[in-house]
Amino acid sequence: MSSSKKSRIVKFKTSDDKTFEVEEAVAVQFETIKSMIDYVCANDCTIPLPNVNAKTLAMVVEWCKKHADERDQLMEVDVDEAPGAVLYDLLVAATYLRVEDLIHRVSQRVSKMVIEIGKLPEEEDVRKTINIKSDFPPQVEEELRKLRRTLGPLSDVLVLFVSSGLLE
Amino acid sequence: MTKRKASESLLSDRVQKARKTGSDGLSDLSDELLLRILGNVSIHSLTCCQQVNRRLHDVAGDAQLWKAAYYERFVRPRASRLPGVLSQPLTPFYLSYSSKLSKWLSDSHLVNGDTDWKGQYRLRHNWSRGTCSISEIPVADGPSVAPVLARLRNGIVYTVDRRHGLRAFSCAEKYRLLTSEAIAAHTNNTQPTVLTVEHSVATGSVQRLAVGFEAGSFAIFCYCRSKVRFTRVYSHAASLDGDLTEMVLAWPYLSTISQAQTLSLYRFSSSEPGEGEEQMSAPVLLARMESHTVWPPLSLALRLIAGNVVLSVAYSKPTMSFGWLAAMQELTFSEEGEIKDSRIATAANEGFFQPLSTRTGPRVAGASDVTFAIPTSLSYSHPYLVCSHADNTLTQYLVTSSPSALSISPGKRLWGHASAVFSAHVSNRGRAVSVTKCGEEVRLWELEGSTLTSASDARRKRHPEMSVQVASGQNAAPFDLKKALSETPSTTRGWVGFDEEKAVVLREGEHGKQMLVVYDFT
Repeated sequence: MSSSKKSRIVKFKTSDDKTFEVEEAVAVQFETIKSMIDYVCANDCTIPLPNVNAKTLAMVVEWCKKHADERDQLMEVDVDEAPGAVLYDLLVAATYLRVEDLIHRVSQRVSKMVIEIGKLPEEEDVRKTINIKSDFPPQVEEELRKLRRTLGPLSDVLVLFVSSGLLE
Repeated sequence: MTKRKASESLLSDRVQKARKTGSDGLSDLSDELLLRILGNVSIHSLTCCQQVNRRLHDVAGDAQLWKAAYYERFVRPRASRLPGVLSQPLTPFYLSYSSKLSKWLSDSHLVNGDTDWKGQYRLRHNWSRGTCSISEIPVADGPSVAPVLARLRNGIVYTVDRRHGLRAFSCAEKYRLLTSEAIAAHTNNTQPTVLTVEHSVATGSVQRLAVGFEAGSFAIFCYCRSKVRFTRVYSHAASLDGDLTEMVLAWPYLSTISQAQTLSLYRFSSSEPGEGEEQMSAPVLLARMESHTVWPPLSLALRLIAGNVVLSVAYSKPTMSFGWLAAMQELTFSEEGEIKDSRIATAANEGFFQPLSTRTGPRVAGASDVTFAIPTSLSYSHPYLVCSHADNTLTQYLVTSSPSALSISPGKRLWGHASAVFSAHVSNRGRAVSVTKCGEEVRLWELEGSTLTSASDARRKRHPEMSVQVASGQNAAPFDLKKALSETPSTTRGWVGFDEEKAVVLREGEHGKQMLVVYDFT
């Protein structure tokens, strides 16, 4: 952080119409915003963020602040504490603002939570955690299961679909 | 522990919330973000996600995910072979996955173009596990005096025998017979003794084959892929040297070895235009050499390097203290057939060159105590040289051929088979396949990285299995003792070969019925 320069402030407007004031040192970590900071500060504009709400933006800003200097040490904590629902919002926000480290961190967290439940998850477990139903025809599903059992975990389901005419 | 608990409670929280709202957060995410998420999970989870629903099926099957997984599992462990990697500081970034060609080692040919990365991953996975589907192609109904000769190249199995002539079977189309060509009408001596298929570099649509016959005659055939037919382009008259036992074709050069241990090197006029299906004029005999000390089995290899022809003859020779050791003669010819260089090397087994050793005390049990039996087969694909033995083992050598020296590393025993090994073949990527004479034991070996350093020996001790036995991926029928006893076990009659996806073995079953057994790893 360059404290010698006078720290400028970048203003954001979130999806729920709240205005945020963020220090430049934090805002430069948003790859999307980076190039327009000079213009925005000079003209005193507010940057609208239509798909980021105030709560999430606060988290992103918090995360960037912590990581401005000591990137490595804090990696392990922070996002782990975030509740599940917030993670998705955080992921969308981080992607929109392009905060590469945060995307990485959150996506890792989500995959641990949703997909890698236990050592060897089965498809039913995944369906349960993300609450979706199979949209395969029952025959295909049966075939899939059989194939995976007989040929190890790497059966080629795609070929089967096409050849059996069950999926176009 | 506490963390785990916390996340579980969060999880159920999330599930309950999702049930209330009737939607799940994951489905709202874009494909791009789903890819990021799936990029962190294991292969098991990835295949499991493919079964969840259609969308996840498509996203989890994304080539880039599998490409990264392929790199992690099959390329990166060999990263020490990257040029300059040892001089570089070993930062994790340097070895991290990238599309940069130079980081893909011998798999760089996969990186360009449309590669089915999942397919590649599955292929390597099945290969490393020995999982495959097995199919049989009947090639001869009754017993024949000599077995059918067969070779596999670029997805086509070529066979030749006296009765059926030359045939081609397509691996892609369920081993359908593509075409056949009689060989009887053209030559008087019709018993084929050797078949070789050129290692073509996919140039043009023509695959060249050479068939050697009794009494030293041979013929060159072309297989045209687009017209699906064989054309005989050249026939060579019989010679006094006897049956041809080994041949190698590297266009426009052909080298043969006969029963009388005469080696001949021919050059065809290479200015054949276009399709290459025209009749050819007689080749020039560049060199003819005789040997009195080289016995089969031997292996011929022909390389064209900077206008020179390098012919390597790998054979085995008896030694006093070690039994049969692999040896090699490398001959360099100019285009006119003048011998420029001739080098000989024998496997450098420890103590071989030093009858008086400075080592005192009891001898260490290991390589120096081993005597090697006479090989049943020998396969050379630079830099690997593999011999199979009747005593259930294989011997692996590493050949170093530089402008200044030719040397062969000490032989190394490979254990694993439970009966006499009939034949073993090796590819230049260090993959070897071996078959036993009786029964149907086929083993796959990964020789790469198993060089003779002490570090790898230590690793070997921890992971003693260097090979896997091939097993059918399908649910095998329950073992039936009565049936097994009444059946005559099939015997291996010949070796065909293997490529990236398949291994083919020639077997003889009941009543001399011969068939090709194809092990398909895709």
